[in-house]
Amino acid sequence: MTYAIETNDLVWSAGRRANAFRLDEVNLRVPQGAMYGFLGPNGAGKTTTIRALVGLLRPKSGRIRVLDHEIPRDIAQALSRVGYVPERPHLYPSLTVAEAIRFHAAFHVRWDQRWADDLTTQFGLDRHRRITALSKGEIGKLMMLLAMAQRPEVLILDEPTDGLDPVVRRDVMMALIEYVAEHDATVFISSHLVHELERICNWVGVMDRGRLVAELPMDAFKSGIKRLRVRQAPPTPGDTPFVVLAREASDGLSASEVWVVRGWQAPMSQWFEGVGASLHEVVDLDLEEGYVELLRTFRRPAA
Amino acid sequence: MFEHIDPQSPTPLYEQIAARIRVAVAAGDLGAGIALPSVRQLAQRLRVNPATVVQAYRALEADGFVDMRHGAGTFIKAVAGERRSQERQDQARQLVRELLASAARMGVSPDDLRHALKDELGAAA
Amino acid sequence: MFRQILFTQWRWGAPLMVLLGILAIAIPVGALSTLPVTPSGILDRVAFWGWLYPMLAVLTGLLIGTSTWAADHRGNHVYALTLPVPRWYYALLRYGAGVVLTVAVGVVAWIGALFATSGLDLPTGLQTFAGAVAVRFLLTSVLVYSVVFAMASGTNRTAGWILASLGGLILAEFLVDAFGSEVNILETLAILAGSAGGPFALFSGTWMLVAI
Repeated sequence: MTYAIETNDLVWSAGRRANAFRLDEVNLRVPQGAMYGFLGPNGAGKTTTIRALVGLLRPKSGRIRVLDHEIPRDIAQALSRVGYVPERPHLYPSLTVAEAIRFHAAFHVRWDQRWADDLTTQFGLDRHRRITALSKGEIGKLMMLLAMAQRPEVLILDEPTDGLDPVVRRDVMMALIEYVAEHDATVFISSHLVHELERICNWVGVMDRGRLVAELPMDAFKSGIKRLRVRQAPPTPGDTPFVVLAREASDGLSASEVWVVRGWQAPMSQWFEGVGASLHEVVDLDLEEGYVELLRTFRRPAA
Repeated sequence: MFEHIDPQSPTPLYEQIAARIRVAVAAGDLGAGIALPSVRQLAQRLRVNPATVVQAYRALEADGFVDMRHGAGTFIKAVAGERRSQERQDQARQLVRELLASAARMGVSPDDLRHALKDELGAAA
Repeated sequence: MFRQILFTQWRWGAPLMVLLGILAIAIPVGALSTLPVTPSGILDRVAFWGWLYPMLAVLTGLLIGTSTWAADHRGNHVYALTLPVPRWYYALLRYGAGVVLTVAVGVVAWIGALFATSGLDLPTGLQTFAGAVAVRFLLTSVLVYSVVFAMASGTNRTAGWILASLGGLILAEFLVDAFGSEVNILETLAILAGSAGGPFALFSGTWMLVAI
């Protein structure tokens, strides 16, 4: 199966100094038709990676392929099939909404004017308003409109609704879902709105400090990390069938610890009996908690 | 019917959606021949991935609850009475399992539980 | 695509072009309204106003050239770079749009010159050269526009090279002078460039609307 987006050992550096920010051998694999949520703390390299994908940055080494086009060599062809919404709006400010749409349409052969018109109405955009006079939410909606009316096969969205009010976010999500339902598209979306990604994404990629630290289907990511409440825990765990990400003394309850583990499966509770401990509770983590725990383990000094 | 879809729950979303429809069919709220919302409509209403809705509908089709007619939509199949009551029993069992798990977590004894159940069921009758 | 680029170019260049257009008409009209009676008086008047023409041509090329990339530059070129056309093609479209606008000003200048020189009561021996001057205006403005566009399209590095070369020439001139040589580098280059075969020949030569 070819991937919609694929990078091989992507390396990029912000400068020549030793402590310059780097993308460190990033290996992205975004399956065709997936809705891929791209998570990571600020400064982790999400926007940098995305800019490399659309040819705004030239990698130092490694390969990038989008829909089987080599980037940056075949960037113009790739961009004709990719809808991109950058973190910061890049429209020409003195144009009106209608003029901006006409401009964008002229460059995209598969433009769907009817869909653009529908969205203009759906999003409540005033065609004759200048872009400088639009609110943040309206600009966000216009950017999504332009990206989707191109009828792309891949949508690359960099925090498209972060910082926008819930009504706008809902409007944008509804339109995105409608688009995905009607077309066979792959969506790559980076966002801090973890709960929104949890609803719609079926793949998750996590970046931290320039590296891609996790990439797996959403369900596997969520079910993979659990919080265990353990009593009479052994001082050193030794060989465990699961990966212990962290151990903490539980708040208040003495003699009980909280373990954060990865790769948990129900039958593993027997292991605890084997070492004289008792497993009191298995807590499921939602996407945000799982993601936070994963990142915390990278920041903790090794046990 | 779909008010309590919980994306944060460990139960996959498609399972939650399918379960809701199963409950409705078992209770007789969704009769044979009724059309379910289109994939696009339901995905938009719930703000979930359309693929999730497709997965739910496919699971229901595999269980014999619905018919996915390409192009026309997804329709509830006529489900025999015993099948529906079997479904209701399965759901009851699922609820009890969850109740017992919570009770164990809180340290509530089976006896206390039985008492409480009798009282509450008596009050509800 | 070109239509849209031209449209956007016009949009943010419009006030500028109106100004240039007004000047392009004002200069010939101002020069030739209520002419003096004697031929020498006429020639003096025309010569007095004459230097404004090439100035306006250069200004037109300069202003349109610098405004071409202004909007893209403000957005750090992200929009242009993420459009599905090769960069060189986009630059070509921008260049072409600028040429159209520059020529438009040139046409207005021509109209202004024709209007100003029509129905003039000239003493014998003097002729009007509206057409010649207008062609000179057009070519000069397009040339200046092209040079400015090329510089604006380059990166900071190329602009740096251009300035460094100019600086090098000036330094060389200075050194040559210091060693008492008779050779005058910059002047020679200027003469070569400005004479009949050189690229800047347009700048020299007659800009006079009325001459012998």
